[in-house]
Parts: sequence; structure tokens; C-alpha cells
Amino acid sequence: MNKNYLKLTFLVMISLYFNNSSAKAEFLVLANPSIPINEITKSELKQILLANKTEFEKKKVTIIALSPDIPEADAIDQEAMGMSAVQAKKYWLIKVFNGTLETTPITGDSADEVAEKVGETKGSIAVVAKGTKPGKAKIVKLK
Amino acid sequence: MSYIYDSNASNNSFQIHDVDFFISGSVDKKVSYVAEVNFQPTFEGVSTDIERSYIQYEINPWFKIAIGRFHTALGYWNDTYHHGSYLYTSVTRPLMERFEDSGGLLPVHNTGIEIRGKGAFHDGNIGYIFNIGNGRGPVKDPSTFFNSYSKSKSISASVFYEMDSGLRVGVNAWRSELPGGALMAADSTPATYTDSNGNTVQVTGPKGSEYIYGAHMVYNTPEIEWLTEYDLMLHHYYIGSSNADGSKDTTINLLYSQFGYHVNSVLTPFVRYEIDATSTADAYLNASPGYKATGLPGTLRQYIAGARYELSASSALKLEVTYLNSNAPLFITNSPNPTSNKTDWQSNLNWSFAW
Repeated sequence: MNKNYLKLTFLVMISLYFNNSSAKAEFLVLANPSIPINEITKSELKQILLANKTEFEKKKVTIIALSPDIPEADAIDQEAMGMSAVQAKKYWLIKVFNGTLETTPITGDSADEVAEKVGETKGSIAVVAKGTKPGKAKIVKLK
Repeated sequence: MSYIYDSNASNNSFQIHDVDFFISGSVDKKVSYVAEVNFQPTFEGVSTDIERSYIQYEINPWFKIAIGRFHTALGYWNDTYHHGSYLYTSVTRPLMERFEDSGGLLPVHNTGIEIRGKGAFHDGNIGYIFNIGNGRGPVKDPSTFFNSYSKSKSISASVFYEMDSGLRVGVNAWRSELPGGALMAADSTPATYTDSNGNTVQVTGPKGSEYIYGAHMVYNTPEIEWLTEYDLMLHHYYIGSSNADGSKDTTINLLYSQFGYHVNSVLTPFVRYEIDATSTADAYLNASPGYKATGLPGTLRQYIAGARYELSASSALKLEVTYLNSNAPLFITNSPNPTSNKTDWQSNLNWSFAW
């Protein structure tokens, strides 16, 4: 056995353990005006984000997500989907590999960019930090 | 990409792994197409496989019908991660989830028709998969791309339930003829291989039937990833007609359990225990060239500890240490020859990515 490998692994794990920065976040649900709802439950929203529900009134839903590189994405995805932003990206890749989703969600590098993309993309929905200006998107109230 | 230390190999090695090309897209609103082409480095060079290629018609989420080559409805790992090594936490697949051409015992690919569906049920989602296909060939590898060796087709089915809490449970079953006779090469002549004495041997298998029954339990939460799968493989051989050698019926048990803990959003240490066990030599599996060197018949136990670190949003650094213990000489992954040793230590540092 190569002892150096084990020593290195141990040190990396200890140093990273203290790097935990997950915190609960309040979020806002944005949707393109073509989405025929104004209210949604947290459970329904999770089903959409997990790609278990892919349609509203027989029309495909497009998810728009915050880029996993944005610091706030972790806390928002944790709250809305029950997983970190990187885990969410991996989850969506699995759905693409299974043929459930055609592609991973379009991402935005800021909440404002996500809002802008939701306003422009028919059938789209997204979760962003509370306080984000919706622009052309509409705010869907959490029941 | 990996760097591997192996107690049974003379040198540490750099290894490149599979290059997996995945295509998926909508033909129109109801019809979609999925293809996965894999380039796998081997000791002889690079082998290319069409791992999946199917066209699917979606009537609704409860009923999707596909035709082509797909992964069989056997448990969780095979239908979730496919060939995407970035998608799973560990560096290596469990022994029981290896592909047919990499020492795997289960029929993980099939060509035929698949029906699947999934939808909300109580507080979770229920799903099913049903396959009918060419099934097994005279030996386990290669799997039957475009010719069926049996009049009757193989069937496999799985049903699973995913709860909101992150728990998923499921069961699966498979039945296929073991057609017996000679494996045919691409030019329609009997396939041959060269044995360890340099003799040319025709590849033939025994006649019988195969049944596989399995169950899985998966628990995925923001903190925990716990995957457990079990398959029971039964081979029943027909005595008398074309299998006059009286091959003994065999029972093969395959199990793995992998537990990972998400320390934070980037670090996941994990451990895995695996066991592949059969009490007697199996005529069908032994008929495949190279099979005898993979450790069975007997009991193969593997213990793995490791960690995965998300280097970026699309790539991960993984490290795992493996201890393998067997009743029979092992086949070592970075050596073309079996070793007489029955134990093996391996450490594997891997960088994988997907986009």
C-alpha cells in the first residue's frame, strides 16, 4: 500500500470538512408569462425541477437554472430541490443520459440573467434569490 | 484519466478511460432519439461499441415505447449511470455492474423493444420498465446486436417507487434462453479464439435458460447517498439433447452496497462492499473466453474506500483504495495476464468530467 496516498486523502478531507458553507435561502419562483399558473406548491415545484413533471397543460416546461459557479446557487438549489448546485447539475445530466431531458437546463451567470432568460423563453421556469427583479418574467406565488 | 497503483502489477500506470459520446434529441414533439457510442481503451488498442441507440415514441409520461439497443431493466445502477463515469461517486463500477466485455456477468445490454413509464403516485413517483429483446448469445460476450440465437425472446421488467424523502426501492426480473451452439463471427463463420496453449478454439456455449431476480434500495438526500443492489442469477441447463455434458445448474449471488456522505457541496467520502459468489463452476459463463481468469467460481469480495471532490461544476477528482479477495487467481486491470495471487490492493486517482 502506498501510505502517501492515504495521508494525502486524510489531510484533504479534514481541510475540506471545514469548508462547508451551505445556508438556507429564501427564493423566488419566476416563470415565463406563457406558463398557465400563478401559484405553485413547493412540492409541485420540486417535481418540475427534478424533471418528474415535464409538462404544464401538455406543454413542455423548460428549466432555467443559476450557474453552479454562483455562490448563492447552492443554498437556493438546496432549498428548492434538496441538493447542492453541483449535485443538481449531475442529477440533470443523469436525466439527459436517461433520455428524460433533451439537455441540461440553460443557465444564467446571475439572478438578473436568469430572470431575463425566463422572460424570453416560452414555457420556462426558474428559482432565484428573493428580491431579484423579474423583468419580463412573472412571479409565481408559493402556496 | 487515472493513475493506478496495483499490488499485483510491476509498475504504476497512467490510464485513459472510456470516451463516451452521447447524442439525444427530439425528432418532433413525440419522437426522440438517444445514442451512446463508447471508445474503450484495451490492451490491444481501442474498441468501439454502440452502447445504446434507440428511437422512442412518447404517448405520455406513463407510456413511452422505444426500439433499438438499450440497457436492460436490471436494477438501479445500470439504468441510471449508463457509461457516464462522471455521474457516479466512485471511480469504478461495482463488480456486478461491469459490462459484458469487461468481465461483467449480467446481461446489461439488449436489442429489441422497451416500454417505460413514470408518474406521480401518493407522495412519490412510481415507474416501470419492460424490455423484450434478442437476449443471450451462445456466450455472454458479445451481446446480441442484430441476430437472435433463440426462437423465444428475452424479457426483463423492473418496477420502482421513489419517495419524496429520497428513498427509492425496486425489484427486477429477467429471463432468457441460453441458446447453446457456436458463436458466429461477423462474416457468418464460427467465432474462434486462441487459448493459453496457442490452440485455436471454437467459441461454443451450453444450452439452457437463465433467470435473474433482483432488488435495489437507494437513499439519496442532501447528506447521504446509499445504494444497495442484489441480483440472484440462476442457470438451468437442459440435459440430454444438445447439452449432453450434463452441465450443473448454478446459482450466482451478486451484491454491492455503497455508502457516501456529502460532507459539504464538494466533498463526498464513500465506502463500498461487494460480493460475487457461486458455489459451482458455471458452464455458460466459463464458455466465454477469458472468463475463468476473473475470479469465479468461488467468492469474490471487494472492499472500497474513497472520496470524490467536485473540482468544478463539470469535473470531479476521485480517489479510491480497493482490496479484492478471491478464491481463484485474479485478472488484474492494468496487466494483460492473470496473476496467481488471490488478493489485490489497488489505489486509483481519477479525474472525470462531462458536459
